[in-house]
Amino acid sequence: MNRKYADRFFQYFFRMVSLVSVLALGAILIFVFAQGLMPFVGATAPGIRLVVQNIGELAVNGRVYRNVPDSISLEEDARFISLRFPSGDAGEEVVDIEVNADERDARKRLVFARNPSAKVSYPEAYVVTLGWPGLMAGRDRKIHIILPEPPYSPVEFIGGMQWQPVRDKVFGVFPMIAGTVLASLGAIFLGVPVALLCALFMAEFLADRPAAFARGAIELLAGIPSVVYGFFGLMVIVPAVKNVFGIAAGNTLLSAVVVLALMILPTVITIAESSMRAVSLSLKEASLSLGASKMQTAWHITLFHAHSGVIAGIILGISRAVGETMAVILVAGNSPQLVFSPLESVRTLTATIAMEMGYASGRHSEMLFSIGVVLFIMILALNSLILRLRRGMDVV
Amino acid sequence: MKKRVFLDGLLYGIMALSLCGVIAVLGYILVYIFRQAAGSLSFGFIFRSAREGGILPMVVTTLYVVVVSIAISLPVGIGTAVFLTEYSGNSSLVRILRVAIETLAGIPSIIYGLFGLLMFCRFLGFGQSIIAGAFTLSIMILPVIIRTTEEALKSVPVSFREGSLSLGTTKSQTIFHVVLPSALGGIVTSAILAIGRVVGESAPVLLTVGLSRNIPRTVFESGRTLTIHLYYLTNEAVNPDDFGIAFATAGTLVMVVVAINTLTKILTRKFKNSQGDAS
Amino acid sequence: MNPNGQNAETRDGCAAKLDVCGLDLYYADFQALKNIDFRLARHEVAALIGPSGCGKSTFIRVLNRMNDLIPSCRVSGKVMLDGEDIYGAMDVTELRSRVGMVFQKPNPFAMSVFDNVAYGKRMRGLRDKRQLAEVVEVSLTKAALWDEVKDRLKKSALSLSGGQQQRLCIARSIAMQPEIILMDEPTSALDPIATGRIEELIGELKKDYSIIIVTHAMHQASRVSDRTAFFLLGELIEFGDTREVFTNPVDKRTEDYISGRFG
Repeated sequence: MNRKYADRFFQYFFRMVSLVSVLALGAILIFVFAQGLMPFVGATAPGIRLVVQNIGELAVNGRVYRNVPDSISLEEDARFISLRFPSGDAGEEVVDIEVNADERDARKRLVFARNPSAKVSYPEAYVVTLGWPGLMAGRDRKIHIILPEPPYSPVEFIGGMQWQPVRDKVFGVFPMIAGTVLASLGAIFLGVPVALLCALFMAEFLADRPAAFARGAIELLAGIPSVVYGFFGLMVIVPAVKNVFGIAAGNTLLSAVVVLALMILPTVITIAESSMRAVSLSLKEASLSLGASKMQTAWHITLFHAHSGVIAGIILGISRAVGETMAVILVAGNSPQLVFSPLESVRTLTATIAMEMGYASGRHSEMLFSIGVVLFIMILALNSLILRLRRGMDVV
Repeated sequence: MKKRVFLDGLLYGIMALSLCGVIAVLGYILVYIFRQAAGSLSFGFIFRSAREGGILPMVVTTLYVVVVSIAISLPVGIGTAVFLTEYSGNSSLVRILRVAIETLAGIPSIIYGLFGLLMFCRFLGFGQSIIAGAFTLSIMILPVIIRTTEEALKSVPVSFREGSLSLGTTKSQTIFHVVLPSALGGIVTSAILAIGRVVGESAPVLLTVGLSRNIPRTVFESGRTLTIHLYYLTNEAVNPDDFGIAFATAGTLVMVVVAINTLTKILTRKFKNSQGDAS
Repeated sequence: MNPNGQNAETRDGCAAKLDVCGLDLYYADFQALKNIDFRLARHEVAALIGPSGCGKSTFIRVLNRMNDLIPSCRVSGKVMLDGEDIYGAMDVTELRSRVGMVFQKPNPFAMSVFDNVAYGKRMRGLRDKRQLAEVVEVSLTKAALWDEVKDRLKKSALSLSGGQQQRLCIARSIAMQPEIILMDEPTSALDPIATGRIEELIGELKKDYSIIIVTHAMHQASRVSDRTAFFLLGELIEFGDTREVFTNPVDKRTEDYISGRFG
């Protein structure tokens, strides 16, 4: 009877295989959210980290360590740090540092004593560098003291106007959220009317063969990779915007809007057209028999009865525009600033992730995942809206 | 009355114009890219290494990514579609599964990139490599494959299944010997659509596969796909030649897309015809 | 009222091939079959007649458990094949290879003629090429199709005519060496000539198999069957010798239906 066992096996096999989608979605949610929420729940490290060279002796809270590595992570309760360098050409150097953990201002948290010749500098927020001029060039000594960054406030993240991830460690994404929303809405305002005109025309006025041709063209439009759209935008639309408005650079919100509008056309047209085609013929015939013209029937009956599908198409178009990355990077200019005019450079959430992930580290990298979370929440909200509309469509 | 005829005619004109406009834009994009690419696009260009101004490494990387991600995604996608059409009753698992697939289909690709970076590059330790990118993309194309395969399975007549079962075969035998072979055309179409998605995808590939310009020897190495090459050339173009190469790369990509579109069209038509014979 | 003890015997005293007793069938809340009692002897052809939707197709789909495919379907009562409850411990694939089925529309698989007939045996593990060829030839011969297709066994079954396809489906089911063949309006999609050939074939097949045939055409029932059952609204109204049922029905409703007053 091994046929029977084989049958049983495959039944479980197919069930297990189909779980992959559920597990994948779960993993995506857990991983992205866990990483993205990290900056808001904890500090970057439990205690101070030191990066030093040729250190002889380290004393923390009076306890002495020898043979310490170049990079040292201290305990959270480290109060008094004393570093001793071996005596060399410049004589023995001793640095005493007192940590004032309650001080909120990072620059005042450390109090230095007994380092007469050292220069204190602050190359980045939360990083202090002590340097001694060496006797020869290239022999100067340096200590980098990396302070733990406290948990970031979600309000400052969402509402913050500044994005200075490297130097100042300021992560305000409001300009990017505004950029994403403006670019998507702009694309919708520009693209949807054209898309609806096309869809209605294809569904109501075109014969089968031309309609099939138009549909083929629109499928091709949907298949063109987004990088190619971006490239085309950079080569054609950006210079056009620059020349028409006489501005210094054409990489603007307007260029992004035009490219995105082009990219959402196929999505909106396809969904709107199929829902228009689903409107029953008897409704249209009823309207025609009442003496309405074909055009009036199309606008009043077909468009009206297909409205939930049309809205679903528009929302799907918005979510495409919100999630679009590469095309926008190439044409939008990418300055993380709040825009007040369509002729200014703008940066979206997605562009920030794709451009900075390559070199980001530490909290900066985590913050890019936090941007991913913001994006994710926007998309999930749009998706649930579509699901609700679909359910409504099934009832009708 | 006259006013209405005029208005109807005007609206008709506007609608026709907008559709023609959209198609004209498509035509313009294609013609523009091919005309600019015409000078540098050749067989030699595709088969020369990057140092000699060709795109061979990118073609190889893209092929690697396509093959590996389809190899992962196709069995899983077909299995899921079989479960949904052949086995599922109305259980809660099916409802969860449907919502999961819908949601996966809606997630923007950059988020897949973030996930792939965390899960495959860092957590599983693949680093930026073809295998990490292929895993990431295989999840991304799963909804495409599931949906298209499901459609194909649904169009296999119930009478085929009944005929097979009435001969005393088991359900799995019926699926493997009658249902899946009959749905082959649709399954191939789903694979081709998925290949199109993978070839055109860029953001998650940038995050997970990386930028290396070498010809990858194994899937555990980093590489640069065609899309990323185009992005890199346009965004960080250093010498004037780069734009020529960029145009030729864009032309190559568009050719692939057109080929895939044509192929799916032909297959769908053929598949529909053979279905017509069966009923 | 408890015929279980006598189940194995018909009125004539010979063993019943199939014995259905007190069968009820529900689709969710709708009762499609009501308390059906039905017996079939060996080498007997029974015809099921009745208006559309009366439950005759549903009934024969009970007999090889094809209704299992419908999730909302519930069955109660006893169906005994050679004294063995088919809804009991019997394996459903075993049952289906013993009780074959021919469907309303010819449904050959999209494979070659040979593969269609060999399919069932292959799935049961028969791999030997010579044995398979023999099964195919015997089955096609029995289905009166061998002479027409012996030169194109490798051609797609979909290239055959409708009547040939239906005989192929009969051959496919014969290949399993079933004990009973169920036919669900096997000629409804065929032209009169093809129908005639199938009817002839049923007369031949009777020598080896028990047959239950659902039919819409009453003259077909009277031509091919030994016994006839009349179904109405899920009930088995009358079941007797075909000649009796058609010439001298017991029930008024049977008479009305046969004389064409409804249906």
